[in-house]
Amino acid sequence: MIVEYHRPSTLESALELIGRKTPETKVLAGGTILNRKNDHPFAVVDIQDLPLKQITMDGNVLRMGAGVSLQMVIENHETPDLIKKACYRETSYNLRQMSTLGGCIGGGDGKSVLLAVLLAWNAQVELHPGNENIPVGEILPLRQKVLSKRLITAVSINLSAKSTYELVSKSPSDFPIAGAAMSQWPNGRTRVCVFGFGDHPLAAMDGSSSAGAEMAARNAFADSEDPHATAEYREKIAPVLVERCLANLSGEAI
Amino acid sequence: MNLKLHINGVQMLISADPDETLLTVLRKNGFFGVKHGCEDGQCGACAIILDDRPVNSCLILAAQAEGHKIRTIESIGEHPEKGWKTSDGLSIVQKAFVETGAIQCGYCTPAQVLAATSLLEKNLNPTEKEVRDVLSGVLCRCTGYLKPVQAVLRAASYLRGENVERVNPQGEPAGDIGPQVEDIEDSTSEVMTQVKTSVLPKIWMTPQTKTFNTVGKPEKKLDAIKLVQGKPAFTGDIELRGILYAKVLLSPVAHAKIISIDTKEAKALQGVATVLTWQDLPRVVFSTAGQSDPIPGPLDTFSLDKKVRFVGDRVAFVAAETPEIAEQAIRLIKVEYEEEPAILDSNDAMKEGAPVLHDEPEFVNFADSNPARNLAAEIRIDIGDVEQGFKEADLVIEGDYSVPKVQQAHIEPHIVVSYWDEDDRLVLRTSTQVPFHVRRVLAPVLGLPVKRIRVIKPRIGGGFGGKQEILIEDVAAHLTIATGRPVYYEYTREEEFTASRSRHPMKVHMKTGVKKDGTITANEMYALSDTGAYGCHALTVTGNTGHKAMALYVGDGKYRVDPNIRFYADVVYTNTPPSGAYRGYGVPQGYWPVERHMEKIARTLGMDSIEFRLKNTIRSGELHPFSKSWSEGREPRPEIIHTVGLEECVRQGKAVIGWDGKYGNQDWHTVQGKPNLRRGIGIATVMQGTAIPYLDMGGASIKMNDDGSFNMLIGATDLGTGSDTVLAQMAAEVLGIPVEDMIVYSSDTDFTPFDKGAYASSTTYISGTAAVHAAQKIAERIMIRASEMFNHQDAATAIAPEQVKLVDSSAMAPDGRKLSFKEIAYNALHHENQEQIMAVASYVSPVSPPPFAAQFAEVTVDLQTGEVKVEKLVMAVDSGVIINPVTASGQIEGGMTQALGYAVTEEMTYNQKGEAQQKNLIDYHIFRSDEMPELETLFIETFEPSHPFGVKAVAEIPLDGVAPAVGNAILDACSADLRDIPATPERVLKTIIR
Repeated sequence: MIVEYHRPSTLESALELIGRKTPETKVLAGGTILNRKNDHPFAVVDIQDLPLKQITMDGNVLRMGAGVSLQMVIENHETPDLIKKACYRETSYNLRQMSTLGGCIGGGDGKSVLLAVLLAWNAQVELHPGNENIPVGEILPLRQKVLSKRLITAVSINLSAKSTYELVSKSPSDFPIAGAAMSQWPNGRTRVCVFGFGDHPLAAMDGSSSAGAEMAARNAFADSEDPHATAEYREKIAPVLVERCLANLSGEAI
Repeated sequence: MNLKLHINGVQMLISADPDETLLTVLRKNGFFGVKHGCEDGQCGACAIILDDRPVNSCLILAAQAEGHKIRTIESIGEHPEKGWKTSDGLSIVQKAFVETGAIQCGYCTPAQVLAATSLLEKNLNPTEKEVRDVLSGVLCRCTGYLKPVQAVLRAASYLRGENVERVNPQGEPAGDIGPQVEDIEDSTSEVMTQVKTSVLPKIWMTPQTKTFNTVGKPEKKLDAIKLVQGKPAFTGDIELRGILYAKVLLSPVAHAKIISIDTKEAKALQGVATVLTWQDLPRVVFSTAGQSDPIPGPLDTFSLDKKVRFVGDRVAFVAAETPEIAEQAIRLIKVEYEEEPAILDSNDAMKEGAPVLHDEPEFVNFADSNPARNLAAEIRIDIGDVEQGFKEADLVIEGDYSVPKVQQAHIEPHIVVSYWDEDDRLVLRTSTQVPFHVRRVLAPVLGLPVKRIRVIKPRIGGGFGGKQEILIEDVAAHLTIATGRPVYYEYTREEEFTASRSRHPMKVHMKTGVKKDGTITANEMYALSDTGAYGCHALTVTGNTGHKAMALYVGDGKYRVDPNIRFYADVVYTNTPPSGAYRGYGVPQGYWPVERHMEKIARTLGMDSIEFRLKNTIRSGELHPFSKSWSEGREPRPEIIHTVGLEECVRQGKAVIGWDGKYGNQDWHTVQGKPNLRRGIGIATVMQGTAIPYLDMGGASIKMNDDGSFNMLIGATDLGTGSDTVLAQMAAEVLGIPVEDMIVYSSDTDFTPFDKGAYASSTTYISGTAAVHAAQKIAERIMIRASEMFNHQDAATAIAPEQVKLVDSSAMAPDGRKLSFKEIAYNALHHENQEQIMAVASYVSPVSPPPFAAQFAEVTVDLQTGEVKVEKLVMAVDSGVIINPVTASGQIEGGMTQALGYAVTEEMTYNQKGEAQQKNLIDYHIFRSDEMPELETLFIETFEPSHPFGVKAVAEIPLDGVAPAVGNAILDACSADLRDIPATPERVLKTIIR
């Protein structure tokens, strides 16, 4: 239950509100997750007036403000196609207008294709206060703690890695029940993460090559049982998903 | 907090709490075009335009919208006729929605119109893919999205200034495909769902259809202009002074006695008007099934009971000044439960020592129900000599199949508003398919005579059987009786999943005897049907599983005369949410096993599966095999089926989907460059029913107005299907008037004649015949008066009434003289021998002529993951004469889409505590506009002799064949013999591996 609403116009005043001891104060980006029914009383800081809606390229680094909506990501010419595709896959048109990158990082679950892609790409999340850059993979397992009294201001991706994902779903727009996202850097470094279950996508592997990726993905699905699929099924198709990701990255269609 | 909101061009100062959503604030301020459908933004019915983008107002705080421009549907378009005041009319987008038949129930229409408007303001040349993406934010459970997509593309075309083809070329039959079979080229995978340039479906017309003026024409829906403007037409779109908001405490446990309920704290909460428990209410047993008297099922339900039987069962009612206070009060009620073992698997229900759900002494049996065995209904039907039939077979093939529990998921939740009127009569304004049953069933429950209850049915935002249930009306009524105040009660989307009704899940065993030449000698089905905690519709839904699905295949030769068919079923109680009525009413559950089994038999015999089917299916002139054995718990009477267009449906459907070029063609089955993919094609042939003979009754009343227009009052409940329009078309055809001169009102138990309600595919056939008969009586009166007027003009030429023709809103004499209906009305109402020209008629049918259909599906299966993509659905339907090809094809498209969910995505499951695992439209996915396969509808008309215009039903049959056609296509693609739906990737992969 939201008991206070604030809309600061500067980062400083936003951080001041977020840093209060009482009432508990949460960051309201698009609100598509936070505004759902909740009995717990808390205050919100709406960041819509903060300058967090820029998308810029600096060399190979794509920097997207935390307040950028998923639809803005899609409509921006700097955005790589893979991220656009992940945004399309994330949710329907209306919700993409309000859902933000920051909201996705703060509240996205294990079915989030976008979060999986960001994780595979080892995206860096810019946090205030402290102007600290933290890999998204370090935030996801500890979101409540890491993001407490802090504001996500931007997400940066070094696009020198090639990335891809593959997923399985019951229908073309239904959420994925199993998926793998993969990034490969020029030096062979390969990151694999799996998604389609749980609280957030899981990093399965970060190695100097793709060796062992199939096994790593299979292992990452070991504890994935939920009403939508068994862990056994997900483990079974993990190698298929990884093989397809590798083929995508090498340009060989499967 | 005070907010300055810029709404529809006006700056408004509005007070709102910090947690109030924009949806709540807009509706509180009278913007009723913004609809509630869920609480997590998934349905999109609440969409508005914020600045220039469609967003879901249920997920935005009102405070977030400050400083932005808000546009609701109320800012777009107006009725083209506003008297002396100039009207700009509807917007181009609205016009296109009306023209294309994109509006069915109309609940999501404002949101779709806004989404389309925002798109076309930015882009006048959208691709179909872009249109589908923009509409993806608004779920529609009625249309299948084809017509809304066509509407947006059509609007774009208008806005580009192009010359757009009219939907209804006057004088031309709509979309006749003629006698020649058309072969349609395969669409490429690059194309998403093909949007035809023509809005109309292909129709194989009867000669009679071509002679009609209004019947058979794509008339615009009579309620379309209202709905496209988002007018306050639905149950919740009213304001009443002093209204209270209801909430119900739902059980957190699956099976328990209530030891105590402490309501003190809840009652003490400021703003709480009352709290009711079972101790406060009279103990009246009833059934929530909305059916005619006597209810063909057990009476096993109380408004509130001292026992709970599923997670989500009722425990206590609260009425409070606001919904928030009511919710808070619910949390303050303390309940002590004594838990009992729960039955969560239907296989356990009749086991020795199983816990008994219904041990209440008030339980009233119907037929063979037996609460001591957890048996809500038992069905044993033997036609012919089944055992002898098996002996005569060369081969007996058996198989086990299962179908899941699924939800109707109408976008408008269950909602009711109750109040005492100025005469102290209880008024229930409710979103129901069965207003007259609501009144009759609730009278004893509330302790009121029927005459002191009035039920008003406004527009319904989808029902699909879910509102053939007297589900929540009693809650509001009890609270109004307790407080004396109006009460508003609306389900949340979660409550729709946990405390509503759904489709009966079934486990089915099939056993079929066949000869080597493909003749079926005996066919047997046993169904274990799970009615959940209460037996509403238990007997009749499951009875229809056999009555319709097992009636299609009678066998060939001597078996056509004496088929051997057995249908046994046990309908058992379990501690899960009750099952109930859902479009198709047990028949989709039957056709999954029957049609999968027939495919299996044909392949085992090495026969062409279509040839095998048509060899054994029922033909015109034959007896409905069940008609001597079973009739919804009432006396059965033999019935000959006069019209069967199935063979032609198969022929035309095959041509349209390109069957001959695909079936058995290995090249077509593979996908170039994708060795993991296989294509498959499948068919299912199905039949339904049209109304319940000797039972379903509908009435219509028509009166003539001064200007020669007419009011038609009908008890039939248009739940978005277009039945008001279709009934008006039939009456208009009789009277020779344009359909817009028939003003239709439905339905209100005080004003409209009785009608059983919208179910059993009966409205067009039953209520339509009543409308035709009433119109015929009116026509007779007009002809008499016209002849008198003609003769008064010229006494030398005597014109008999039967010589008068009614054409173009006029009465015409054989000598060419004409009297307009306005002149006749003035004469009747004001000038001579004054009378109100009016008539009432009702109709009950002695027969239930079945519609037939051939359903085709094309799929692509991923052999490595089991993922199935349904690429195309084609349905060729014999529904008799099609009164309105646009509304009828909308029924088929929407029905196929619901059935597609049944086939591949939708399933309600429960954990070990009996808790629902799908409580929202994320976990329970219904198809969106951006993922639809190509849909195509063909109508193969027959002229059903038992109806004045040759009509049979159309509404339910599209639910029957999609799942088995998809299952058979999967088999065709990869030899995976799937027994259970939905065809999830995991199930399909397991089957492939097996």
